[in-house]
Amino acid sequence: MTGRRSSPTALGGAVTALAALGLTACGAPTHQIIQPEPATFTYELPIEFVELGEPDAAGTSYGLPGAAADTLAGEPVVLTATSPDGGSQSYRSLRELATGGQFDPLNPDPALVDTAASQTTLINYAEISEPDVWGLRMQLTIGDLVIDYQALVDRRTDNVVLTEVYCTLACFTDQVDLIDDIQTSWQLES
Amino acid sequence: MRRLRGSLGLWALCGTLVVGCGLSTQHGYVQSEDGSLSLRYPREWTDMPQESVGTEWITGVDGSPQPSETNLLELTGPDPIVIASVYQLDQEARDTTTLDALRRLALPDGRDPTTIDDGSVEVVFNNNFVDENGFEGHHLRFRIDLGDGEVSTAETLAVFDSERTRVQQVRVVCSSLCFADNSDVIDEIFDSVRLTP
Repeated sequence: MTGRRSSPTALGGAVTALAALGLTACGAPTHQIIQPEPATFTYELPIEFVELGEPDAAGTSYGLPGAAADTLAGEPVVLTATSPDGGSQSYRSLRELATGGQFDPLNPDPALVDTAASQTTLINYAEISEPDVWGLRMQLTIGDLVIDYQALVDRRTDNVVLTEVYCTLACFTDQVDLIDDIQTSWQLES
Repeated sequence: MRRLRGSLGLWALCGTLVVGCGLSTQHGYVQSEDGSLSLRYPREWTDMPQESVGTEWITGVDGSPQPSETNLLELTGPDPIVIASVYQLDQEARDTTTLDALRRLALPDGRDPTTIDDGSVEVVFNNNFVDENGFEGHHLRFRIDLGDGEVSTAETLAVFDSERTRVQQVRVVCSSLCFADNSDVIDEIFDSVRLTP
């Protein structure tokens, strides 16, 4: 993951925890809302998640306290990043952002033998089209690591928000519902 | 949008029968073959034959009293020319075309007028376009000095549909003097553009 985190295309963005919501019967919040800046998207994360270290060039990571953002985590780690250049994006370029511009996971160059491309398997791919938003979501495996990657473009502002949830294959299997909840929790502020 | 599309058919009927439908017969109407693009133009202008070539549909409207197909190629003609087109993108194009690239449809040579920095282009406006159905693109007006005293003004609306499978474009162009003289009519043409999913 280190190489991916140093990707020049994944611009960092300070992420602000805005509020807590989702009260349980006891009144305790179960989720928190985060907003990758300067985009107008918000996401919901479990209330137990915290920022893992300082935001860096790759973005901001969230996970359970103690979860390591740069290693094969036994718990999901969420990385969010933003980019203001949606006007220059295509479906292909959004896919390539997932690999730091090295290759397109949907159409990897067969010549890329013994590289990251040959170790990456695309297991799901879906495009997203809403009146205000377009983008895609895909799930990749790299060795024992599973990455649930989503790239959304705000049609109104051309801001791009990237979210990657990654953990081991066993973790992914256990937490598939939580990961899906996170990736589908996005909202666009009006 | 669907309601308006249906209304276009009604307008055409009224224009044919002239039976006091209460709708203007002072306009002509163009609608793309797939129904995704329509617009209204002054009745005295001439709708040239529509063409469908492969995955492209294109038509022109000539504001000249002596309409001709060669007029449609003019950038500095004395009368406005309207070009309306719909391109169906193949998988490769759909996968790689960007919003910024739509601006390159504004000039016949494929240059993006907003990036020409040799002093020949003045961008009058360059607005992002997004509607409630997810159509998105650019609405752009610019003047370009073509040399020898020939100055053209062009206005284009170029958009993707929400799935990025098609590009719809409307372009109005003529000499800058003509454009200034017809600016109200040209505004009405762009106001009349309807994009249908």
